Amino acid sequence: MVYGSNNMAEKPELMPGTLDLLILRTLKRAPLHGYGIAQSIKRTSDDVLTVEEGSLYPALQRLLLQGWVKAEWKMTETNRRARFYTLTAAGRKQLGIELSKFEQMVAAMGRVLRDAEEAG
Amino acid sequence: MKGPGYWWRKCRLLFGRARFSSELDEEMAFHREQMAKELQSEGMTPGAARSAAMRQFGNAMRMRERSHEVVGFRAETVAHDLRYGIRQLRKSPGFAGEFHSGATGGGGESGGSAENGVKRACLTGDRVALFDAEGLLGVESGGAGSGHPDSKERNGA
Repeated sequence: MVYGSNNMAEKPELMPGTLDLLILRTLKRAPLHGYGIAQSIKRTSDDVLTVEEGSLYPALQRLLLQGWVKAEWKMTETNRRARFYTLTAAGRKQLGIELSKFEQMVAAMGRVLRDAEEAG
Repeated sequence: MKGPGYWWRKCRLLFGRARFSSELDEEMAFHREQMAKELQSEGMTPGAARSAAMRQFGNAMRMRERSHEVVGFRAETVAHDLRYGIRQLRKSPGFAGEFHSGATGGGGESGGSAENGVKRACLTGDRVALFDAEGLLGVESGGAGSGHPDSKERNGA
């Protein structure tokens, strides 16, 4: 699961499927290993989002099984063997679907929240 | 509805459980190493960085179990998924492929044969040939849904 960076009690749980979307989006830029994916999400979100390893690796297995990413063992810059994940064509298509679903959900939430504010 | 690509990947994983587990272990070890390096670069001693990385990374055993759950390695689902997966692949016209259960011998949650001693399965069109350690177990052919790997009979053994 992806959490915000505040203290444990305040960490908001994001809706299911958000982690898949973040991983797919991160891999759109370049192939990365698991650690790189977690670091990239943390850095890009200015440390607001932290991906737990306990969620990251099962999510990667799920994406592999769906054929949305592929994995390949390669050497890192420091000459260490690591498993790099790459977005596939199907994954790119899925990213578009997930993004559109996410935007629809955010827009719908925005409408409900604005309506509640106006009523209050 | 999941396509033949999904079932092909699923069957490959189920036949290659030992390899999947060792690769996942290597991947998690790499992740812990990178975390320790980062902590060291922030000023921690190597020993303290390693311990902190282990703590941050969490329970590796639980993590492995969760990954195994995702791909369906639980004992009660493997046989069912394999049967279903192979049946789905046989529905795909012109499909050909081969699965191996890897080098490990019997037993265990993550190693050994895929189902009832089956070490290898070859699929061509709507036919599936199953092999165990001694040789050919049997060949099934025909339309989708006609029997499954459990209904095979040893061929000449």
